[in-house]
Amino acid sequence: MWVEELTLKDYRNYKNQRVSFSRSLNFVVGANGEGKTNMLEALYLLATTKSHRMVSEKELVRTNSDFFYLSCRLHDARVNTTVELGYSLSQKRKAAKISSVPVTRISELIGVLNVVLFAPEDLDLVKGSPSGRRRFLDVLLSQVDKVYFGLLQQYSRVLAQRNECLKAIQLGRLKTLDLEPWTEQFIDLALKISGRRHRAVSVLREEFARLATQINQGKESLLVEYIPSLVLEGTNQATHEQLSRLLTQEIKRGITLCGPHRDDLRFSINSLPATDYASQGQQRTAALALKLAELAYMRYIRGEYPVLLLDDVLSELDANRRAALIEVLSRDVQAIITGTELVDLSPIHVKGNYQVIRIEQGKVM
Amino acid sequence: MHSYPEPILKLISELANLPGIGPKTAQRLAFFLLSQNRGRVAELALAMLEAKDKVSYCEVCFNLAEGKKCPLCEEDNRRRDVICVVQDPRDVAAIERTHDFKGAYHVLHGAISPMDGIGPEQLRVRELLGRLASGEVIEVIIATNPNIEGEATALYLARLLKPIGVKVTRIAHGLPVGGDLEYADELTLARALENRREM
Repeated sequence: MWVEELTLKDYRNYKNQRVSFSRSLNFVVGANGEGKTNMLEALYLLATTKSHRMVSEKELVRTNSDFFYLSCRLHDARVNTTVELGYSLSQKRKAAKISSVPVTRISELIGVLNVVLFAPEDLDLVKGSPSGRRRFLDVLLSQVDKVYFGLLQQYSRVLAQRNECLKAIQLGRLKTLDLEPWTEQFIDLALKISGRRHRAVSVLREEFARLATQINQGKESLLVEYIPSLVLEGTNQATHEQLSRLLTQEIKRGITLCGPHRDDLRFSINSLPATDYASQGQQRTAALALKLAELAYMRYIRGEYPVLLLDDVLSELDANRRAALIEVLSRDVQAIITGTELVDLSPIHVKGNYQVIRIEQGKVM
Repeated sequence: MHSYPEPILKLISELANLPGIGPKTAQRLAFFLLSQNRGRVAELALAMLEAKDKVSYCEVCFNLAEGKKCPLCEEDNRRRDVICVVQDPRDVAAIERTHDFKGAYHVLHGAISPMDGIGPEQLRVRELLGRLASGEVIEVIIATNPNIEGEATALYLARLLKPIGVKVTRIAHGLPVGGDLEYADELTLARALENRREM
């Protein structure tokens, strides 16, 4: 899959800009604060409907404007699609179109354009909070599985209701029996979500281990695995029993203590937990291998590579890590890479067929 | 807006309190009412008061009624041994439009939602149990909405009613009739597959 053209109107520091991309390598070059990350953010927004910087829509609107508008034209093996997304500050509303047809729900946009973004924040993925790792899985799975996104939305609603119910039981306003309808729906959704994540990671982990070994030249073995907080292999009955053991504690604290919102992705180095033992370099290796494994996983599911967005991370990578990246980039992947200066990727440079986009103050020069 | 006379401001703010009506619509409605002749406005005001005064809830099924019982509970040729449980009087009207169901109804007036402080106590659940006490009823069909809260209400009722010995059923989830499979949303389709039946 590749993006041919992106249009940004009143988005961040872009007034009205059209950008064309080559279908292989694109270097977006400019000084800090000129709008390189904003461009990648726009593509991420079109793919997932959310900013990776976790800001509200109103912050994306250019100063003194009422709305922003983004559109991109993309190609995959079969079809050409146009994706449009707008947000109005005064109406506090997003609107979107897919190939000129307005969507009834913005979430329909998710999965049309597939992206993998690697940003400096992702270098903290290994040692950062579990919520960051869960978000990684959610963004990945939502892009390739429409049902997954729907399940997540239902799950968060059931979870909120179940937690309210637990609080009401704690205060004596409801009885323990009143929890049952929520627990039943909770288990159904929790097992579906954790099961899907578990299956995805079991595919992804092989590619992860291969890439990690290649990057560190076999010095140590890096592994990743999904750690569900609920027993996944058991029957619904087993899950019920697991939950009933937690019940007293759950009522006391007024929150649900296990489920997909408590699961984690665990990295280990030579069988030791990476959260405690990973060095800076090992964290980088793990983060890069994870992102490249994500790319391979999406290709495995969709039959096509997603668009790879690399935000200012090239300069952070040493020769071995760059070599791993170059191997991937030499396949049929469109990559949009930002940096303050052109980074030497000699082996690919030689192949030619790359494009340099220079940016100054929200304008392509 | 502040330049308007006091009575108009009051009317606008009352209208804006109605569901689905924002400040702009409220303003348009208020000016529309002002432009009408007095008789027309009085008719509207009277209709509102009359509806409020004369409509109450059926003492049997809690559907809307003018008097003690609703028209459906007054009907002679309806089955009394099958009860269809719904959330809202509008759901009764929806099922009636099918002309396929000839049993009785029971309106809960909501669904269980801890977030909104609504538990079984706030719904007409005790009254439903009362109707089942005579042993005349053989089946309860639960037709609450197919969302999280409606589903929780259905699960709650099923657990409550089954020990009584009454047959409890739930209306099916699935694809809209006459639609195309390819246009169905993924979650509905997944649910429909999950609840498939043998033929």
